[in-house]
Order: sequence, then C-alpha cells, then structure tokens
Amino acid sequence: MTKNLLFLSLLLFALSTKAQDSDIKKTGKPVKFGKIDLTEFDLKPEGKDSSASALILFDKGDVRFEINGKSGGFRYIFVKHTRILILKKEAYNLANIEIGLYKSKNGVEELLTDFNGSTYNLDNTTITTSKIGKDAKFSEKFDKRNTIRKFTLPNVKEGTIIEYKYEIRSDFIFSLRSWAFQSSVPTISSDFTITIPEYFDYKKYIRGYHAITEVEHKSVNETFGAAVQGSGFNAPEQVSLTCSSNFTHYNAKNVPALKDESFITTLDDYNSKIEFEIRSTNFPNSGFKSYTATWDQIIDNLKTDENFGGVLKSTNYIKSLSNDIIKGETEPLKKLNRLFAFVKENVKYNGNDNIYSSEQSLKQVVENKAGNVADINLLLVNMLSQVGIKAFPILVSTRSNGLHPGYELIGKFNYVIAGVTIDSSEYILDATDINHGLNMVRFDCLNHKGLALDMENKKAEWIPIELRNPSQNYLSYQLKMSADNIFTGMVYERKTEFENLSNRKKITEFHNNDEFLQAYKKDRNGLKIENFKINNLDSLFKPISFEYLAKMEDMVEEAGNLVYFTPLLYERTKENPFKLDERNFPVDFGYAFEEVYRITIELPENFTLDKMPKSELFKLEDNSAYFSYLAAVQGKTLNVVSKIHVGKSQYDKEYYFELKELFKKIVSKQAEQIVLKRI
Amino acid sequence: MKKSILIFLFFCVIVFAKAQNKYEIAKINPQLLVNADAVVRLDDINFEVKSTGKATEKLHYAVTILNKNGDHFSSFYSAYDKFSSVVQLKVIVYNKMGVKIKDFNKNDFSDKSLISDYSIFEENRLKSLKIYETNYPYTVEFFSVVDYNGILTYPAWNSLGYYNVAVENSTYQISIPSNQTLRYQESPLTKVKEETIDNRKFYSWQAQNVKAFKLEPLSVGISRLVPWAKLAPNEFEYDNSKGNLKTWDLMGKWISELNQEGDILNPASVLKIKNLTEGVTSTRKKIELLYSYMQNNTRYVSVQLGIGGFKPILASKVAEVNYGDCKALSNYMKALLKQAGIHSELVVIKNEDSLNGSLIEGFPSIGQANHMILCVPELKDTVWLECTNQQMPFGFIGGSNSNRNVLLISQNGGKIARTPLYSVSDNTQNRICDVTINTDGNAVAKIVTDYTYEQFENNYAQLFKEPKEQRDFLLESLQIANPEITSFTYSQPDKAKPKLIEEIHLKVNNLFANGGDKLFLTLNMMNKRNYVPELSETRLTDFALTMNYTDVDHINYKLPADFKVEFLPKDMNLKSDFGEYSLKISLTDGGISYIRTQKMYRKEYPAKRFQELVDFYKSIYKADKQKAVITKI
Repeated sequence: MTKNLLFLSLLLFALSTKAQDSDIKKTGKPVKFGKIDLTEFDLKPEGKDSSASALILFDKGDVRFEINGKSGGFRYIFVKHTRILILKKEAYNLANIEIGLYKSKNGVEELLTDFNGSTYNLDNTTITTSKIGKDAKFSEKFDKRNTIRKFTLPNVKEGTIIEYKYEIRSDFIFSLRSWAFQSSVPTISSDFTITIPEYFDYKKYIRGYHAITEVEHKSVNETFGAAVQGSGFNAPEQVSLTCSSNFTHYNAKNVPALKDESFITTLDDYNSKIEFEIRSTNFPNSGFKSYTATWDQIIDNLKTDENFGGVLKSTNYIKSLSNDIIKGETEPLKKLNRLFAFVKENVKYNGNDNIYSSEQSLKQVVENKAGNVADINLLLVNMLSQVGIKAFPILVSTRSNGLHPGYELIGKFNYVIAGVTIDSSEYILDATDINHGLNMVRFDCLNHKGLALDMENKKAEWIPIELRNPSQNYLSYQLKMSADNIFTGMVYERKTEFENLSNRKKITEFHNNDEFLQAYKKDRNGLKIENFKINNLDSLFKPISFEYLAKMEDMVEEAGNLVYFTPLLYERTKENPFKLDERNFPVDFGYAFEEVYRITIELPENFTLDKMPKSELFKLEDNSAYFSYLAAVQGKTLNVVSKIHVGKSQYDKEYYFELKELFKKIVSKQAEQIVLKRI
Repeated sequence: MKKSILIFLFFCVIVFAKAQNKYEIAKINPQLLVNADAVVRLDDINFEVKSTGKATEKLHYAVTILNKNGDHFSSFYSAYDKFSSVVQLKVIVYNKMGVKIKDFNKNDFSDKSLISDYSIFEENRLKSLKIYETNYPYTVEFFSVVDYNGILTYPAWNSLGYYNVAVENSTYQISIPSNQTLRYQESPLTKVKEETIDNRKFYSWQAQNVKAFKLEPLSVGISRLVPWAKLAPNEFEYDNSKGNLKTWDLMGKWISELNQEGDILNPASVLKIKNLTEGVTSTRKKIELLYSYMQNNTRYVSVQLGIGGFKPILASKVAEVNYGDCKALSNYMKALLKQAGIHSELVVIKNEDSLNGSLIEGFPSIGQANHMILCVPELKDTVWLECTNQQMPFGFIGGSNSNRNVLLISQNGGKIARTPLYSVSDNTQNRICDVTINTDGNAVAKIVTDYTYEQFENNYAQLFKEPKEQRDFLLESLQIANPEITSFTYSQPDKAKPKLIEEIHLKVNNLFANGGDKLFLTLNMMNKRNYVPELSETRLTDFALTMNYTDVDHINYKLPADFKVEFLPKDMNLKSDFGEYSLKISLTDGGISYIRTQKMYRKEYPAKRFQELVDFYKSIYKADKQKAVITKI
C-alpha cells in the first residue's frame, strides 16, 4: 500500500512537470505573471477599435478537474489570467475586479483559492510594479448564497498595464463556467484550455460572430489523488485515480470589441463564447450514467426532479381546488379560462425566471400567493390536467437570456410556459401577468421557439413561439375642419396582439383613466378630449380600443392665403429607427407588426384644395414589409390611408439597408403637407 | 353546558372582532382615498436616546394597500451596519375586514449587503421582506426595534414622504437624558410638544389626516405643504469619536480633528511637487499644474468603513495607490497644494441637481451633505476644485455643486460659504449652421456648436467616447429626420476651460416637406421644443426651472437660384419671468437667415404661476414649428 502510494505521487510529479512543458508549446509563448516586456506598452488597438479605451493583451482561461478532499467527489479548477493595457480613463473600471461565488445549501460551493493582481507603469525604460495591497481586497456577503469578492488595483493611469490571475474551485460540475473570447474592449489573443477526465462527457456550445479555432485536441494521462475526509473519527482515506483525459485548446485572435445595437435579443448572443454542460458520466465503479444526452433523458430527469416533475404530480389538494373552480362548467375552453384567471389573479409573479419551481408543493405556492415563473405556470399545467385538459410545459430561453442553440442543452432554458391542446387547437399560456390573454406571452419570451415537453411519452418538440398575427395599431380620424383651423370629430383606435397587451399594461399602471389620458396627451400638444371611452378592458381576448371626441388646435399653419398641415396629424413616424451606417447583427423585432391610419377630414366651405400628397407604395424586395400611402379627395372630403406592414418578427442583417430605406420613405412621406387655399 | 360554550364562543368572536378590526377599510375617511394608492393608518416613531452614543428606535407602522400601484408600500426594510443592530422585526397582514391573515418575523426577512452604486465597498446591510397579497384592499402592520451604538444623526419626521399615499395618523417622539441637548427645525404647519419626566426630556410631533398628493411636472416637492421636523443632536459619540454639532463651526472642528496630520506626504511625492512647480511664480498657475497632476494620476474608488465615512484616508496612502473617494482625493489635492505653500480648505457640500442643495445655515447637522470638494480661498478669485472628476476643467465645479451654501473646513473650525452661480450668459449653446439646399431638396449642412459651462457639462462626455459611439449619439440626438453624417469633430480648445466645440458636416435627404409643387421648410432645424407640460387646474406644488442658459441658433439657408421664397414667418420677441425668446427671420442674398434665441432662468416659482409657464412654452412650441413656403419658378 505504501509503495503503491509513493509510486503514484511520483507519477503525479512527473506528470505535472510534463504538463508545464506542453503548456509552453500550446500557447506558443510562455506567460509568466509579472514578466512584462517593454514592447507591450507600445501595443495599439487597430482598425475600427483604434480609439478603444483599453486593449486586452491576452486573456487565458483554463479548466481542469481534481478530487475534492471534503466530499470525495470531483470538482473543477477554473483559472483566469489576463493582462490589459489601459489607454484611457474610461477603462479605469477594468482595474476594479469583481468575482461572484455561489454556495448551495448542502455545502456544495465555489471557492476563490488564489488571487494575484499587479499594475505596471513605464517611466522611460523602467517598469514600476505595484502589487495589490491587503486593504484593497473586499468580500461582500451579498446574501446567504452569494459572495462577491472585490479587488482594486493600485496606480492605474493612462498607459498602465494591469494584470491579474485568479483560481476558483467549484463543485458545480453540471455546467462549467463559460468562457467569453470577446469583451467590451478589443482583445489581441484569448485562449481557453480544458482538460476533461474520461469519466465525464460534456456537450459544448460555441457561438458568436468572431471565429474561435480549436488549436489542439489530444488525449493525456492524468492522476488524481486526495486525502478524502472520513466520517466521524475515521482517518482520511487516501484516494487515487489514473485515467486518460481529453485536452482541448481554443483560441481567438484580434477579437474586436463587442458593441450594442438596437432590435437585438441580447448582446450576449453575439459574443464569441464557449459553454459546457454535462452529457453523461462513466465511473469505473458506478458505471455509465446519462444526464442530458437525449431529450428523453432530460425529460426523465425533469420528471424525477422534485421541483419540476414533483410539482406536476396530481395531489388531492390541487385536484379539489381545480374542480371547485370549474364547477358547473363543461366546455373545455371555458374551464381553461377559469383556471387561467384563477392562477393569474391569485399568484403574483415575483420577477424570478426559472424552469424549476421554488417549492416542492404547489399548495405552498397557492398559499404564498406569489412565486417564480415555474411556480405559476407549472401550477397552471397541473390544474388544467386535473380537469381533463391536455396541458404540457414548454421550456423557453428568453430574449435577455439569449438564443437556445437547439440541441440537448437544459441549462440554457430559464422560463416555462403552458401549452394546451383542445380538440385540434393549440394554445400557449403565461399566467405571470394579469393582462395576458390566450396565446400572449411577455415580450422577453418572444424568442421565436420553445421546447414542448410530453412528460408521459418522454418526447420533446420545438414549437414556434410567435404571435399568431401581426400586432396591429389601427387608428381612424373622422374629422371636420372649421374655418378657423380647428379640427373636431371622432377618434377611434384599436390594438391587437402585442399592442393590445402593452396598452393594457400601460392603463393598469396608471391610477385612473385621467392619468392615462394625461400621458396620452403628452405627445399630442393641443389635443382636447371629451367622452373618452376604453372598450374591452375587461375582456382580455378582444382587442382593446379607445374612442373619443377630439378637438385639435395648433395643427395648421398659415402663409398668406395658404393653409397647410400634415394629414396624419399626431401620428406620423418622425424619425427613422434605423439611423446607423452599418449593422452587424440580425434585426430582431420580436413580433411582426402593422400600423394602419385612416383619416377622413371634411374641409370647410371657404377653402379649396391646392395641393396634396401623391399616393405611393414602397416595399421590400421579397414583399415581407411594405408601406402604402393613399390620398384622395371627394367633394370637400379628404381621405388618407397610411399603412406600414412589417410581416416578419426577425430579419437577417442583409435586410438592414432595405429596412432603413423603407423607413426613410415612411418618414418623409408621412411628413408631406396638404395645402389648402382660402377663397 | 352546551349552551354556555356556545355563548362563550359567541362572546369570543365579538371581542376578537373588536380588537382586530381597527384596520378595517371602512374606517378610512373617504377624503383620504382621493389620489391614494395606499393609506398609512399609523406611523409611529419612538427614538429613545440613552446616552450620547446609544439609542433605541421603535417603529410601529400600518398601511392599507388599496390597489396594485400601492404594492410597493408593502415592502419593508431595515438597514443596519457595525453601529446598529436590528433587534426585532414583525409584520402582520390583515384583510379588508381588519382580520389577521398571516404574520412574519425577523427570520422571514432576507439579509443582503447594501452598497451604493458608486462604491466598491461599504458595511451597510439590509433586511427586507416583500408582502404578496392579491386581494385588495389589505393592510400590513410593521414593528421594528433597532439599537444604535454610535450616533451622528437623529431620525427626521416626515408626516408624508411620498406621492399617491395619504396618512391617517403620524406621530414622532424623541427623548433624551436631561443632561443632553438637541436642536430641531419644524415646518410652519406643526408645533412641538415638550415635556420633562423623570430626568428625561420628551419632544413630540403629530399629524392627522394628511391627504395624498399627485406628482406634478417640474415640482419642487411637497415639503412646503405637509408637516415635518428635522432633528439633530448636539453632543454625540460615534466609532470612538466624540463631538458637538451645535454650530457649523464646531462640526468643522470635529471633521478637521478627524483629519489631523492627514495631509502629510511622503518624500517621493514632495520631490515630485517640487519639480512640478519649480520656477512657476503665479499661484494660480501652480494650482492648475497640481490639479492637472492629480487628475492624471488618480482614479475614483469609493470604500466607506466606519468613521471613514467622514474621515478621508491619508494623503500619503493616496499617493501610494493613486485612488480614493471624494474625501480622499480632495484631501490629497489639499496636501499637494500645502506642499507648494498654498492654503486650501476642504468643502462639505450637497451635490444635487436642484435648487435646494444648500446646507441649512441655521441648522447644523450631519447628513445634509453627500460630497466633498476643495476650495482655495485666499486668492483674489476663490478657486473651487472638483477633485473627484478626472476630466473636469480647472476651476469648474458643475451645476450640481454650484450656487449653494457649503461648509469650509479649516483648523479653526467650520464656516458657511457659497459656491459660484453659473449665469444665463455662462451656460450657452451657440450654434451656427450653413445649409445649402440643392434643387432636388437635399441639403448639405455644416453645423458648428459651442457649449460652455453647464451646457459644456451636459455634453462633454462626447469628448471621451469612441468615434462609433460619438456618431451613434449624434444620429440619435440630432432632431433631423434623415441625416447622413459625412464627418464630425469634438474638441476642447483649452483643457482648463469649460468650452466644447462640436462641428458636424452632414447631408440631409429631403429637408423639405412636400405639398404638391410647394416646398415647406421648417426653419428651426434642430432645436425645437417638442413638449409643453400639461396644465392642471389644481396645481398644488411650487415649481422650478433648474438651469440658467442661453441657446442661440443661427441658420443660413442657401437656396437654388430657381427657388422663390413665397412666405416667411414673422419675427418674434417674447419676454417673461421664466425667460426670453426671439426670432429674427429675413431674406438674404440667395436664401434665408434664421436666428433663434432662447434664455431661461434658474429660479423657483409659486404653483399658481404654472399657467404662465405653460403659455410661454406653448408659444415657443408653436413658433418652433413654423415653416417657410418655397416654390420652384
């Protein structure tokens, strides 16, 4: 036994020196902490980023595994080593480093086991090194589970190089810390190396717009040894394992800074990044175990998870609660509406997104009167199932959480909604907002697809999560113009789909109709409103509409005997939403939309029409979006219809210039004037 | 037997209902429901000062939430740090009948760190609990007991602190040992009740039936309309330091003592300063050199620990790490100046974008200020230095530090002084545009704008952005429909002067709005007023315009030879107490000259004058929309 151990540790020694050697070969150039070359101070960002506030000289990440002596299980060591040249004051915040660490309730945790930080300043040809002091390290206990370690590097000026290296040991091996090759400032070189023992099989998810190359992939031998703590008074047990491991090295060079754009899901979707999630384990003594290799297995795991499958189980409490609510109702759709209303009205969304319930019993959720998205929508699924309606959970990755890559990656989901089939009709339901009707989800959920789970048959299917119809804003003006340039008449507005939802939300946010009206009038200077009516506020399944008697002053201008105004009055699109000269990412609106304005104006007797805009049609080459403008006069009545139609929820970036051009036309056409002559 | 139980039970129910339904919704005075999302039924503060450094605060609070918008009143917080501990927390929820439905205690509260956005580290923590209740109205009752071991301030009393909430009953009581003294300042709408019992002095205030207010545009707030009282200790003890706050002078002494010997530098820094200022004779020039040295070598990092919230870290430490918070950097600058033989004083100031940033001259207390800057008083013109900003021009302290009472700290004590006011003629935006229009209606424009003082401050962040961001900002902020930017530059000709020059060259597609063969040209190309505040007939709060400024837009339009100007809007001249506005529009050789001038005054106005402001803005709104009518010959 003793001999064996010695042999093992010798092997370990041999291995570790070898590992160092190959480290040098892998990355081309060995990087030692604190060894700064004078030439590094002269490096400059190039091209589009030439005036960047900082330049990341290198960023190196490494993941390898070890045995945690406390638990006897595997954990991984994450090392990050980075060196940054600070060029402008705007980048000073890069010298304040924050590292978040998580701890779960059963002692499973992340530990920061090493941190080293320095700054280097060049004075002619001498480099002055300043090390981080004790009084510049802080530990913020954010809450019971999260700690934030903070480090403030000294002596940072324009031209300073900062460097830091830290090491985290983490027991959370289900999904590993991701590695981003891109940052808000440009990077010369970013390397990520990972060594995974043969016992583990991980799925990797690589994404982003800047290419990542796999520099090397090979098999290496590793030996793991640890003194694992015994229980009670038992002495620690010496454990050792030798296995073959998979080593992979990824690199990205000259990575540009990542910059925000409008109409995107989340900037993180476009970052060049690598993520790992476990597929299976195969330990010599416990054999093969698959976690998330296929959707079947994922559903199987979810089924046995007490915070997912557990809460979907039938209980007497939920059964009798559901049946009480639908008492007397036979029609499935009406049953659904009652249960949907019950959950919306009785359980408040606490703002937390998760696919797992925060409770182990839905009874608790009902009693709490609040919960995360899974608490709410799994409750709904369960209640619907209790009354014989086919209901199932749909997993979603929200826009702010980023696009799901499509393959078997459970960790990327953060939201769950309910799917329902009645006869042959499909519905999606999200009970986290009292304003949600059938097939309505929050904007953040409009990320184009969701994974519908058939828990019984262990099947998963991607289904589209899109609004069923373009979201429409319809507006009609029936006005009469007086000889003293005042318009009076009826205004009618109708909103469908997302417009419907957002207007309902707005109305409920105000204290009363008066306040809503005040806000409504805010962008409509000179508008006076009487008999304001909101229709269908209580029937969620119908479009909301507004009706009022309007009086508009100050809309008309005079020049000599000419009188002129914009016929769309308050409603025109005044600025092009696409102003920027270039576009790197797709244009993602989230939903298709339509804007229809119908204006009828009866002109006063003593005026004649002098000039009016031409009717015109502009469209995208593939007809998926268009703008039409019709103007006609009949006797003393002027008719204008303006319609914008954007038929797709997302467009590839190649469409950008066409979209920009279309909106340019919209802005100038809608600004055109009607000219009248006073007789 | 059976019967008596029944009677007994019945009796119980009555007693129970009587005791518990004090929060029944029906008991609220209907007048308090107007504009209210919630009604505070009871707000009872009891602050018991045990000695100069010890006190206990007991809160008893109950609020009825009327609708969803009132939900934020049902979140409860209790902050603590090294010098205070939360002893008791309790929350009880009642339904609309006033019957208890659930309760929570201290263990149900979450415990989180509480660190300001600007700080790296502070010791403050927060216990919080959010109540979720879906049946409105409901009532939540809150009790808390907090022990203080270290005192700087006494809690203030605000009978009403928020909009859209009414108060049924608010009381405040503070008691101190009779050998201690305190000061208070109360609103004219209330009167203290004082009494002495058993060697303790009691002060209390009370308000009942305070109605809810709505938020009004440009409002200065509701403090003039509701009862309140501010309190401050004289003798106090905090983190092993004793002091007296009776006068600003004494407070200054306390701060100065905390900071004793804090402005001594190490030999290396001494030498550096000597080299820097060698041969420079002008004191002002020396200050400028040292200020620029400080700006180029330090960065802002805020860490607040214990008395460190008031005591700057040593200048020698700042010299070593080159970072610090506002106190540390101001003190470091003071040390640099001292080394060069220049006397300066730390300035305790309230940094806030409002007209009410002054320290109250007759009411010294800690907590009125939130910032520190530096003052060099002995020159002919006092120099004020904002040391927390590494890009601010020398001597300029910005709008949120300007025109207010501040406390100067010297060895001899504290003294109230006033920071400079930036006037209408200081804060300018001067713009000259040359716009050449061609026959198809497209135009080429050169726009040069100078921004000075506070208008410089509003825009100078542009100087430090990357070109792509500068461009994106311009495209988003230019009030022009379809601009194409050809080139642009931002410059600050003199790093020591708050003046920014922005030069933009752009193409504008379709500058005209068409109307058949007539062309309409909105003369005000890029400085239009688009918003007129809504007039309310029941305006209650006073209002303020918070910046002095002058905007001048001079646009020269050049038209193609075959274009004829058919109509030009008339010249205008508006004068009011709020500001001035004028238009000068004329035909020039081959085009139109448009000059728009707008001046606005930083000032407060009574509520009843809001109508006049609306009228003034409305006139400007209309004037800014005016168009010239042009025809092709």
